[in-house]
Amino acid sequence: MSYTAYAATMQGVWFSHDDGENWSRLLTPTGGMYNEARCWAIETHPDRPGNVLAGTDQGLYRYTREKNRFDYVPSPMDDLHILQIARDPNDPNFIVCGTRPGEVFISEDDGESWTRSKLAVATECWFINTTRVTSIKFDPRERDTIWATVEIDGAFRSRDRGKTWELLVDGLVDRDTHDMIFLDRGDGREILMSTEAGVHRSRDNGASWVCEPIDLAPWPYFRSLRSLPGKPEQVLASVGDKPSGETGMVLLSEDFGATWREVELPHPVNSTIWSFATHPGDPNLVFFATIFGQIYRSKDGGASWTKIKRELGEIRMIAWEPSAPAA
Amino acid sequence: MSFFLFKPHVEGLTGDITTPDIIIDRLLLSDGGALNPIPSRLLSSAAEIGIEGNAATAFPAYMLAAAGGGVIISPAIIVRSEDATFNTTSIHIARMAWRWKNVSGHADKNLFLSVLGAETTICNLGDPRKIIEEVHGAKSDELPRGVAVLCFSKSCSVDVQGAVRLPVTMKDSALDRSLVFPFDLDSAAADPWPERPLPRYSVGPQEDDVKHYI
Repeated sequence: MSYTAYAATMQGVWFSHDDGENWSRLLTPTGGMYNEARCWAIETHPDRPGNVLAGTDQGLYRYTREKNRFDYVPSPMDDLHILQIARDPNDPNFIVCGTRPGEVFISEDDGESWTRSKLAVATECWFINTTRVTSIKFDPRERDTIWATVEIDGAFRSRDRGKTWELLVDGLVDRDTHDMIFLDRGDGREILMSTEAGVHRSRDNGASWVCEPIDLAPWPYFRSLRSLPGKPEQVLASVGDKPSGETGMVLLSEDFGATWREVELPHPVNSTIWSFATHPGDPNLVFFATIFGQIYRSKDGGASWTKIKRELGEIRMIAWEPSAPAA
Repeated sequence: MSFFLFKPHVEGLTGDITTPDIIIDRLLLSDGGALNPIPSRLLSSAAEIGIEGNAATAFPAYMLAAAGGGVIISPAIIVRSEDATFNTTSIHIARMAWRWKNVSGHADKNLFLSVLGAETTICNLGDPRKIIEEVHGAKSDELPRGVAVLCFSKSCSVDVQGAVRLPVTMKDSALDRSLVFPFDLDSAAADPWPERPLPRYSVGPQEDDVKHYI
């Protein structure tokens, strides 16, 4: 399977078409996006490979393989930092973007028009001054439910497709929330949420949270969580010494976080691992990127890793998808 | 000194797009008569605006802006509130453009602007060639650095009530392409968040609690 990997960096979006070995950007004169735009978010389309949304400090952009360029997507977010983008897997035209300041914007028509959601996050924060959205997840079971983590304010849930939100922080040791994943078994549900003070678990659909110490990790700063496609109990977690940090590790769980083991890496990471990339096209193909530019690839579901020689400066998100047919 | 930072995506003839950031510090208004300087701070690239009152008049417009690769032309819209306490007028420029030199040869008959069914040729709002010549003071295809000219006609407008979508389309029928500025008008009277909460303050980790932070 040929595939394309994408890296959202502080110098635009980078592409790899050769198993992640080599990376390049689009040419500035023809690419449609300033190559030093700060890009935080990349979202592939579930049905249209080669159709990618990118969130930047210049606005929202859409890359299409046919044009091989980014097209600017007018939206109310031009002056914001677009940090997260999520498409409803059941309706890919339904797009949710999370920004700094902490706001959520929704399009129901594939980006043609936008509505600012009523997400009542803290508008000021002592520690980071301005809150920001760190993840957006469509509920895997409840079609109208959307989740968001906000740094620094907690976890939010909307049960009406983003019209209203509730803050769910009961039991959180720390409201600096980063990411979340879900495990549904029968009528039961468990949610894992990463925070700067460890991993929290909820067994009551977010009504309460319990921090679960993981002795294996020498630091509490958990950043990214990812279940492998089709294997929700198999979880990868990244933990670093701090943001941005100087080191970090990958933990792997086969039982949705009941037990963990550290995964051996062929080379020490240079900072906190900020992002994992998976795709249903091959559940065993996984990438991760450190915030300071390293990229690692696994072809066995995260059990073993290869460090890519090329490094890319500051990386905020990494993604991959099966390649679109050549234009 | 005030200026407007214009961030257009300039589409070329071969599908290429360049993204120059351009400082506009001298804005001229053309309504078919004399060119009048107006404050550049009136410009915005916001794709939506809330207006005072419920009624407004929208004028499709275009803007010529000086650029190193040649003058660029962008769709725009001017919105004037009719029953406003303040005499509210706002000008919105799409972050999309073509090079004037790529459309000038067929602009007379093939370059159109439309909003809500009101369509006109670009040249009906003022012939760009004459405007450029007037600004530059000589026959030229160029505008001086930092200069932009906003062109509209008082006779080409649409009256709107309340919240409405006002996409402005600049169409080049000769090259079969268009730029669409998806502009939305809202009424400032309608609170988009009637039960808005008070702003909250979060603290986050304290240095004493989280020693791993720098």
